[in-house]
Amino acid sequence: MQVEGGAFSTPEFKEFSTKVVPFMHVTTRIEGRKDEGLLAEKGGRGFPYIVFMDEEGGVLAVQGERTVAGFQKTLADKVQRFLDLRAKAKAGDPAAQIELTLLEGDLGRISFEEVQTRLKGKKLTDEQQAMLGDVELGAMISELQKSEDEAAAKPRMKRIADTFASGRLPRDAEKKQMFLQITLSYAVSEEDPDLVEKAFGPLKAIYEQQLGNDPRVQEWARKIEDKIAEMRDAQKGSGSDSGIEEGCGEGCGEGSGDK
Amino acid sequence: MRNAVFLLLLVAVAAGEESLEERLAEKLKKPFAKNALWVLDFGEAKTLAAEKGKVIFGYFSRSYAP
Repeated sequence: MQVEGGAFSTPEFKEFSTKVVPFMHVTTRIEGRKDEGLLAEKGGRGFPYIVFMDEEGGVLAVQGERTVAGFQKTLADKVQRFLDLRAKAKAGDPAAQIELTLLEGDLGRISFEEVQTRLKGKKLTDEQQAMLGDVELGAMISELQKSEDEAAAKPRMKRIADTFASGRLPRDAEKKQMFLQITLSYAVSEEDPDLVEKAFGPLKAIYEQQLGNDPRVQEWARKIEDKIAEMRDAQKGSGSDSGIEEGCGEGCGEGSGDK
Repeated sequence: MRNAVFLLLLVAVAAGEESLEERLAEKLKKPFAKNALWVLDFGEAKTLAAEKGKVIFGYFSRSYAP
């Protein structure tokens, strides 16, 4: 992992680590090992995953930038904001209660259903409504990731694909990318060239923004375009299988992370 | 003789393939793991956070693959 030889090996991190409780969880695949599934429980979808948590283990903020300056900024901004909101909500501030509920839903601390229950009858601002929509879409991804087998996953993928087809996408960059990847994968499995094409364009734009003219992106795009052509041909009565992937390969299109 | 050859083969395979436990041990020997007082037990991390009034900085990694 790049962060181990990078940020975690610096004197600045040594100093930063004294301000928090530095906890390292290692997924080992050793059978029966305690807390082996903790990554998924805390909302992790790949490696490395860095989060700030409270004393009960509830997620306070997910870390993006993997630098000591980034850790300090998250601690000062996002973590502090959560703690301030929680204190205000506890003191009875109605605006803080709404914000906190939305934030807890976004972080996966509470289910989308719980968010809806808590916000029932409350008047939300436009931004809060948009955030509620993001919480709903994020919950769809989380639900899919909890699928134990393909049979359970398929209807959840369909729900995401249908939601995308209706014009909705998460605002968060990582969730948006996942939504598109899931939709593309589902559309390929369903031999739906229109939906493949619809998800392919924005997903290709994301990969190109992240990786520029990386040959893996070009190769992946070529395969998708071939697949779309094959599916269209098949609709006319002929076709074959090009065996494409929804993503552009290992380590490709995963932002700054080395998942 | 055949048993001896089989045994040698087994030893050779074992030497070439690290166990999951060995991979974990290797991970924890890396220099970064010594640069902070990393807590490896989640329960202990929560207890320390409560006692010290600090938040937990959770790093999730893996040892089964590079």
